[in-house]
Amino acid sequence: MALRSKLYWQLIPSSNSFIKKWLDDVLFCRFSAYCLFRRQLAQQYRYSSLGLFWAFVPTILTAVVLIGSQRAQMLATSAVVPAAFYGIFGVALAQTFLEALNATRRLFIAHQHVLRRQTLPLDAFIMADLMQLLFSMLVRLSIVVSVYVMFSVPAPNPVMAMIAVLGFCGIACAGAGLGLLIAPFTALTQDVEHVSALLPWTIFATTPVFVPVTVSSILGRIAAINPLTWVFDGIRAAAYGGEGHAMLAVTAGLLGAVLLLLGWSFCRVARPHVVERLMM
Amino acid sequence: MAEPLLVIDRVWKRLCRRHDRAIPHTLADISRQILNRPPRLELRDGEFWALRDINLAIEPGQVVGVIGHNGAGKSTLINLVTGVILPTAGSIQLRTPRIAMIDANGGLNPFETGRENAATLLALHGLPTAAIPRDVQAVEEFAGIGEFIDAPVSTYSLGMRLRLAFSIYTRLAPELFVIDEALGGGDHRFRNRFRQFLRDYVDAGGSILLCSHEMTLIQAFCHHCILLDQGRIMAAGEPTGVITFYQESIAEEEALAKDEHQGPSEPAANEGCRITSVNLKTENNLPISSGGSLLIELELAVDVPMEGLACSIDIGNAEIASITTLVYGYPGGDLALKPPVATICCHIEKLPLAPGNYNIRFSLFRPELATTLVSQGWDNAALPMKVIAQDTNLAIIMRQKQNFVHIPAAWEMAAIHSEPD
Repeated sequence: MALRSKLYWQLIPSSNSFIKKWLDDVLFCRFSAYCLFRRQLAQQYRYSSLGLFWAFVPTILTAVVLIGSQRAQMLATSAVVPAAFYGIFGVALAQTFLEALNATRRLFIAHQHVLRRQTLPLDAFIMADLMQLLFSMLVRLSIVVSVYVMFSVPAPNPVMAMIAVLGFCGIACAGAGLGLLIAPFTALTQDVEHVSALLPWTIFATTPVFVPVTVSSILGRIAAINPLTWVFDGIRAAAYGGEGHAMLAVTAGLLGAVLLLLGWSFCRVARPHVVERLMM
Repeated sequence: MAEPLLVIDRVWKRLCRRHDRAIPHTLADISRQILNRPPRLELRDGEFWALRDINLAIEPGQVVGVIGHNGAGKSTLINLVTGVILPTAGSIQLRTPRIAMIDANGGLNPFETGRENAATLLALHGLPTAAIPRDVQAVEEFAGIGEFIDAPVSTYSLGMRLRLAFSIYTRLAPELFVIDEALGGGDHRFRNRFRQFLRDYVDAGGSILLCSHEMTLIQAFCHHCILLDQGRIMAAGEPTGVITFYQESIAEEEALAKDEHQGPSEPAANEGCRITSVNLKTENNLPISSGGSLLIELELAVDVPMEGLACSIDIGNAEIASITTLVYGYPGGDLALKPPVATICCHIEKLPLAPGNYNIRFSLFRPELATTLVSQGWDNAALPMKVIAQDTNLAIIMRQKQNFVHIPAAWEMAAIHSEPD
């Protein structure tokens, strides 16, 4: 038998073999990723007396606050849907992005106890994180659906509903991809950790999450050049109509997937170099 | 001849000790890898060579030991073999994917329970999902940590962590077992169990790369041994020879450090007499050996007749100032010296010292007044004495246990007769 090179990361012979190895690893660890996902989920709520209830809390709390604000006529009105609905939908989108970003950017730090000594596929951890994101997104979407009923907002046609869900997935993928791209640097320096904690709030301050902004205002002009505004408006358009272009949700889905694959492959390449520095 | 399971060919590895250079160096390394360019064989800012030109092969059924000081490069070598990090130059070829590594932490997640850790690690190592509950049950029974199996690993003692890790990794049935100081924290029962497992594993054709400071373990298990020092292989070959070389080099380093600390030799104090020479003599002028005879001969220049004296010889080493004291003339002051020259001889029939480097200190004193007339080795350089081994195996055990004294003993097995009915 010919000696098989253990160093599959070193000197990638061709992109084909890199992708093949990647797919092999994904197939190899699909069950272990599922096991890991279940363990992470159990661990997340282990010391919580209310358990999974906490997964619903942020969205429910937002809904309560926004409904109260709407009744007190504190929110700007949207032409298409009630202001509270607009806000709840926006928070669901923002949370999806943020959760994905935060889950993956700590990939190396969270699993360093294993990565420093074992050659287990990194893909298992990434896939487990993605499964957890999918789970959280489904929880969030179930609340969004119940808010549709509560505010009597007409449901979109099935195609548009699919596009809206694709947009949600795109946002999650974009957040996860961005998180994976910065994960190696988050492990190497505290500065990135601080910036990563601050950056999302800076982005969402310039994105219409809670209330629609008027185009003529300063915030409106800033929001207009923020790509997330376009993506959010696209998903809103697909979900309940409005000013955005639904096709932007599809574009967001595709771009999110590309960003995720880019971040994932970057982490695979960066792994031994990052682990080496984590040891010192 | 069997094809090697692992071949390490001219491997070099550089590491960086400066955290502020982590991002630039990492980015440079990743860029070169993406561009398919091999790393440059040069040290960058803050880097050092952790391993230099390492060559090693492990055949199926072979146990290879790695010994050396802390920081010699043992763990780096192990991390390269397991594929956790990449070599800067050279290649590491592994013929099997079935490789397991066990160390003091065992890759356990401190926030997960023992049971969860077992399930996660077994799943991550590719065991079939259906078999995992059964394997976890086996791990639970084998680890023998009782109800702690459902407690977070952070609450475990080091010994319990080791037992759990050992129980998990043995379920993987690897072809190559990499062990990095994994026995350090376990109790005797665990260590015996682990040793028995390793013995059975090797007998069944398994291979081990064993990294340990426990020389008796290396000697008992390994077919081949390498000594690492500052990233280089300083010695390689049959374990007993490499271990002896290592232990002697440690002893020499310690003696050298001690001498440097003491500074240059100064003449002994003089109170009517002075030491002119100290000689260590053996039968047939052979090297001083453990269990052999030794004559310590002190020659003194005496100015005036002296009575009521006693003398002592202290034998010590770098760790213990006085391992033993040989005294003559105390407390009665039976020793008398006459001018112009006196010779004091101390004959030791069977030197009960373990092999190693020692030093000898001499004192001539008046017991009545508790005053020292002349001394050698207390305020100035002591006389060095190197003791070699007559029995290499015994020497390794004594060094491992950090013993300095060996008491020769006669052993016999008494027959036990069963009582008549």
